[in-house]
Amino acid sequence: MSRSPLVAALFAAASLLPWPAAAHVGVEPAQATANTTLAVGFRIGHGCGESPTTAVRIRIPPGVTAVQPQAKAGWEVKTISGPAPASGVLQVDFVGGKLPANLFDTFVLRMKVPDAPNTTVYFPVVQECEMGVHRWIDAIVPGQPEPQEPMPGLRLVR
Amino acid sequence: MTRLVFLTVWLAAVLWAAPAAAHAVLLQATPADRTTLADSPTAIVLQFSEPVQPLVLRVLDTAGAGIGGTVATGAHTLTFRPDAVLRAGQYLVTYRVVSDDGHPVGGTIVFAVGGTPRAWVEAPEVPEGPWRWAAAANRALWMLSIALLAGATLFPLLAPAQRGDFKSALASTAAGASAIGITTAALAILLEGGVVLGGGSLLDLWRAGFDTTQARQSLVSVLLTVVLWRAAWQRDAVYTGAVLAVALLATVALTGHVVTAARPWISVPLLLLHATPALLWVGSFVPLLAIVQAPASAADRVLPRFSALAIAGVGVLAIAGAGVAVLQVRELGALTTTAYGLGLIAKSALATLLLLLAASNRLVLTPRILAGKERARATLSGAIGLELILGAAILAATAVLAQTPPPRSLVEPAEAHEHDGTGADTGVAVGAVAQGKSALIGVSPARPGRNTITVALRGAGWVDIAPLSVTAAFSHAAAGIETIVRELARVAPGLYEYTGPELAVAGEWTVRVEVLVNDFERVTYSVPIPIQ
Repeated sequence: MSRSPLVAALFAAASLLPWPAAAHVGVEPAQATANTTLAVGFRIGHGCGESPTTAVRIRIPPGVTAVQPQAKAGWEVKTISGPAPASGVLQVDFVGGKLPANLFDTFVLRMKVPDAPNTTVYFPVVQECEMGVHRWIDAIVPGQPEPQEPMPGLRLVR
Repeated sequence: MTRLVFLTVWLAAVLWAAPAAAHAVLLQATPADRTTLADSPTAIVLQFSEPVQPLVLRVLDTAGAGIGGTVATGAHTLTFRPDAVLRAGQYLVTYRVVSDDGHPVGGTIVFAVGGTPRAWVEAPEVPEGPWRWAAAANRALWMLSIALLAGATLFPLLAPAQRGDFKSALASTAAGASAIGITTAALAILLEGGVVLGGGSLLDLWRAGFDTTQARQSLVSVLLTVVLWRAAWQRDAVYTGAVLAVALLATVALTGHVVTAARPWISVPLLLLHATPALLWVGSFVPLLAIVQAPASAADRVLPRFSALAIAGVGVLAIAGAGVAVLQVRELGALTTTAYGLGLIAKSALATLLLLLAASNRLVLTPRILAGKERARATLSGAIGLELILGAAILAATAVLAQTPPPRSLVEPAEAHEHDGTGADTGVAVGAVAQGKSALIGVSPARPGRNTITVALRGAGWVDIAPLSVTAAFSHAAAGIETIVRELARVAPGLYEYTGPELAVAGEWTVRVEVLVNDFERVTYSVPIPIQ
């Protein structure tokens, strides 16, 4: 384990860096193999200021199929499907719960991601609180400063 | 294995730390955003949700000059103590702080010193509650009384020979109308103070009322009423009285929406052309009743003259009234979607009813009376009484309209007259396109101080889309002013507006307009706006 001090130092340095999505909606895992089925968690890290979160609404982008939300104690889960039978789930709503502003929680969907390696699929998310709302719906444009409420994205790799 | 444990612990630690890393939020500011204080505050306190370190905390006056002071950092608070007393005027408190997660958070609040303490009204809101209704009822009574006084004064001119008969028949009407006119005019100042303040001591209400255009109208009308009463009814100066009566009616244009319109040189004459004949018409009902019930043959001479005059007068008042309505309403759609529009429709319906009644009186009853049929006299008396009631109802509707903001004031900057007279058409307008949707963003008058920002979403991409909300974020990097976010009010389909004092400092501001198209789609425009 001669490399372990170096590795430890790297990890320590990484810990000190600002967690990229600390104050945003995080996606776990941050990347996935294209054309596979996996569970993706959306991490809500804070409320709206001091106000607790009461609803999380996740839009499913085109290409993402076979969406199935994971049951969540204390929350009612609703799925909204498109008009055509084959169009699948367009939106998943977690409502009726109460996530205090100083705690975090993860809302999990199982899904099949498209066969498009080296792209990122973005999930617009609306986080509603008792007082106020965060809309994580701003597109991330390369070369421009990160918007205030960026959409969470899942990087697809080969 | 060791590595795996290490990795797990590290991941857990980072994830554990993540939720705590939410940004700090401004919980409370003292003085609060958009408030007016009576006196200079000794301290300006910003309270945050988490411990913060100040990067910038500055207080600026409207010239953009920094106010000297000391900054103290508490657990969750920042306190700014100005070195000297803040003079009357408007101030911006701009801050940028960094919280534990290393994320900087900035913002700006606006407050004013000097004046009646109050929170600023954001949008032109309809003043609600009993004050508004009391003011409207009082105004209706005032209009009715000046109409009756002017009518009683002017009507006898139609038959100068019978003036003596009129004078004895109408003296009590004129006296009563004068007394009520003076009382209601004085009361109007107090009630207007109530509409502005929403309550308070009698002295406060008077003071607030005297700051409004209502005071001007009340004082002039009381003066004219007193002089008119003495000239026409005590000294028998008929023509002086006639001039004073017309002048008294013209005082209706001294306050109200018309005065605050962007082009008073057209809206005030239009209003006078509408209101003067209208009030004279209402005021003529009592003398008409007197003449119809009088056994003398005066009716034979007066009725045809009055009818001829009335036709001309009604034509003028209808055309001018339509002109005023167009100026105030602007868009046909606003007729049915705004309170003002609905009030206008109600008033027009009453006026139409009155016109029909008047037409039947003229075309059916008047010829019969002239033909000497006595029964027609009684019928006409009843009809005129009904006309008087309808006239009073129209005045009441008018008074309520006077307390309701017209769609016009929601579309264009209403306070153009408060500026230096250069008109409302000065300003800056910038077009922008984002995500295939175009917007026109205008700021008027684009001078330091009170400005109106207008966002028009009417171009390509906005067809059949009704955005959920439109907000504007103002910032001024060169002057170090952090973002101020304000929500715009929808004033017409595709048209959003906010009026406020945030652009208080000259220089190039950045205005970022965020349009929430639906829950999941937002269009953002960022445009530079020069304020000079």
